[in-house]
Amino acid sequence: MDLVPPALELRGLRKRFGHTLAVDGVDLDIPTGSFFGVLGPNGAGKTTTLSIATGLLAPDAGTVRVHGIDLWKEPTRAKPLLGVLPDGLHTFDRLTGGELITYAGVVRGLDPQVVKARRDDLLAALDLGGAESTLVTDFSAGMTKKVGLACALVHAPRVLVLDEPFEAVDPVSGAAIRTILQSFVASGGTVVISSHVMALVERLCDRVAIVGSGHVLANGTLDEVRGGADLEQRFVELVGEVADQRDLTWLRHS
Amino acid sequence: MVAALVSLRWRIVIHQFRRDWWRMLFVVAGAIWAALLIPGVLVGSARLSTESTAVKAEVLIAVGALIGAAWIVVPLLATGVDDSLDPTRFAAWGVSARRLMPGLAVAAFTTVPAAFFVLVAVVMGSSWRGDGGVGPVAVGTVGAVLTAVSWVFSSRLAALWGARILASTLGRWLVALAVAGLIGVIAAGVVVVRADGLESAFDYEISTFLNALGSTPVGAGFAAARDVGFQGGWSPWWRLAMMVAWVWVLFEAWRSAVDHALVNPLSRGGGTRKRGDAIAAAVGGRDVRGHAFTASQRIVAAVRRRTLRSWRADPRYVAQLVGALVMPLLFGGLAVVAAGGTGVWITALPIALALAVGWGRHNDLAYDSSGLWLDIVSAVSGRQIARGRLEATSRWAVPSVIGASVVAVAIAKRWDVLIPVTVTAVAVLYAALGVAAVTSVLLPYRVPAPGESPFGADAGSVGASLVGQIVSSVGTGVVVPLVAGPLVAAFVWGGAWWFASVVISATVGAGAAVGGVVAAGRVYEARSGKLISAVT
Repeated sequence: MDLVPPALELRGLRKRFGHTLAVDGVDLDIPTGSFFGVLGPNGAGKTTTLSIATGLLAPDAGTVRVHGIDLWKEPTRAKPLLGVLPDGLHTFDRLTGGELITYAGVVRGLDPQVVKARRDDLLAALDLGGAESTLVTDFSAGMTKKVGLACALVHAPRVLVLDEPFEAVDPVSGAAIRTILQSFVASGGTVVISSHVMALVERLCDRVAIVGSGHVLANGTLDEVRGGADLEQRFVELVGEVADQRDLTWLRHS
Repeated sequence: MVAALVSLRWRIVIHQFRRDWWRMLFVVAGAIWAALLIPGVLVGSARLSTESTAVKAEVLIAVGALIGAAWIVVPLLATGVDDSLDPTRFAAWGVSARRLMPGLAVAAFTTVPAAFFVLVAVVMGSSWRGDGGVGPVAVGTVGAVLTAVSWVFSSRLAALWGARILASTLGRWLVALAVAGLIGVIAAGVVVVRADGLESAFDYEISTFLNALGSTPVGAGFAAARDVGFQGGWSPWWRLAMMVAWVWVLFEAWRSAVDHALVNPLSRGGGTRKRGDAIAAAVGGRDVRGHAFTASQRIVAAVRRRTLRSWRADPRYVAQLVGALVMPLLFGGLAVVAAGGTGVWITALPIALALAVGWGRHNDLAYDSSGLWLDIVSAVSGRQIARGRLEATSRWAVPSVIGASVVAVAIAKRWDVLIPVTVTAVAVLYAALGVAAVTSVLLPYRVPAPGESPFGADAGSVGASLVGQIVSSVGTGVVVPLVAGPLVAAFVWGGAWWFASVVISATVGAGAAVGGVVAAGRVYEARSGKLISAVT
């Protein structure tokens, strides 16, 4: 019996928005030291699940444990273990990139000198040179993503939960982020990412869960989930193809 | 395109009501309330129709000018403008402003306030009956309708221009100058009334002013019928022609503003560059004993600093700051002008200002929600956030309230009450901020997101805000009398009450602020998993 609790343990998560059951009994164990990919079609419940798992959204039912600590019962013990990059939420956009990272470090309880050193490191490592003095509201989508990632990293958490971390990020910065995350996992940290890019997930993740209609459809190591096939092929098999594959003949010019 | 846009607006509104069905209740309640006002308007019109032509014209011009001002001021400073057809939402469609405008113009009249005030204008215009047959009524009605159209158009234009102005640093300075100018105009009004007396002002200055307004687009629509069959000539017709031209000018200006909005999104900071790290500087401070900040004090300082940046640079905050300062000064100034005196009641002005600023923070969390997720995932204590926000507001509000106290005492020529009045006003501010801190986490409602027009509002959002406002009003109504009551007692009985009022108001005000911060912190932590969905 494994006595080490998972980095993230989700049990019986359920969340309803009006008539829509967004998350319907999600159970997941994300082992410590894994690079975990959460896959699913649009509207599958990935973001809702990750929001519940990081304390951003209260579940209707279920529990979340971070390294064995109940997130919703003991948030002040569990949240410091997490670094979070949500998708689709604004940030304090009237701060500069540098100030935002400093803010994230300060509210995580870090000493100002430590924050300053880490802020400078993160700005350099994530190629955010000009961001130090530019307001976040003037950032491109990719820069906003990167500064959000910097905020998630600044307190050196044990578990990173990143919703679409590579979306809108240029290839050079993407490579830098991949290196940072792989190094983080190699040192014993845990990364959970959601993504639609199968190639990226196959390249980075050692474990994968495919979510559809609020359920976990498949979960395991990358090879277990693939089952000898291509991940994209397996994904389509599990979630189903577009039901009405209509031929848009009117879109053709010749 | 007109039918498509009107249909689109209704579809959006219906979907909003399906999502938040309770909004429909407030829209229906608003419509019923508006309908109930119509008999009063009819009675007023009937009574006005028996008055002399001169009185009738002055009353109609005055009422029309006030409604016109309200159509600009109220959406900008209080309710916002229905943004279901916000032009920026058409930016990706490649449709020109010229094609959009007819639909936007028609859709602007499909709101309850627009329908109500068009009706009010028509009833007002019909007050010219009994002045020589059909002619004056016909001209009055046409003028009234044109005036009502100008109200609606100017409101839309003001919202677009206002958002554009507040998006730039230069624009925010211009707004500050405009506020100073407004205060100057109010001061001039006070001086005139104090010099000549209120009755004289009504007989001469105000009458002259209203007659002058009758020759401008503000009042020409209601003044046009005055000269039908009396002075003859072109007077009614050039006034109506001016109103037609004015409506056209407003429409073209609105079109131009839409044209600009389509390719100039607001979500930019204008390329502002900041030197240094203001958050790092703020958290590196020292407390009153000269000790370096503790971790908790650093968090409060960081929240305070970022909120202060919002007050200076975020158009949504700047709009609220202007509203919080202008509304009490405007109404207070008008009250001073109307009362024409130097009565001691003027010392209520700084207290009203403090109340308006404090109460106005009842939805603080929603405005500060742009990075709410970062505070939540960081497990920042709710108390630290509430305290940081309260301190940021008080940085500009306390000097404003003290300034208003000095001005009020100077007008009243009662320098002996400066300290009690100032202490009470500041205490009211803190007490109201304490109550607002609690209601902002208890009953937050959606506001424009960063980058959206600060003057946008969903259909039925006035109703949504009403719940929070009513609860906040009740809470403030319970606490503030405890703070301000001793000052009233001091004015009535004097003696030891002056000293007592200072001690009691300071104690209760501080207690309410601290209690509010503590309670708000607890509610915030208990509801942290529900707050984001409540405000987005």
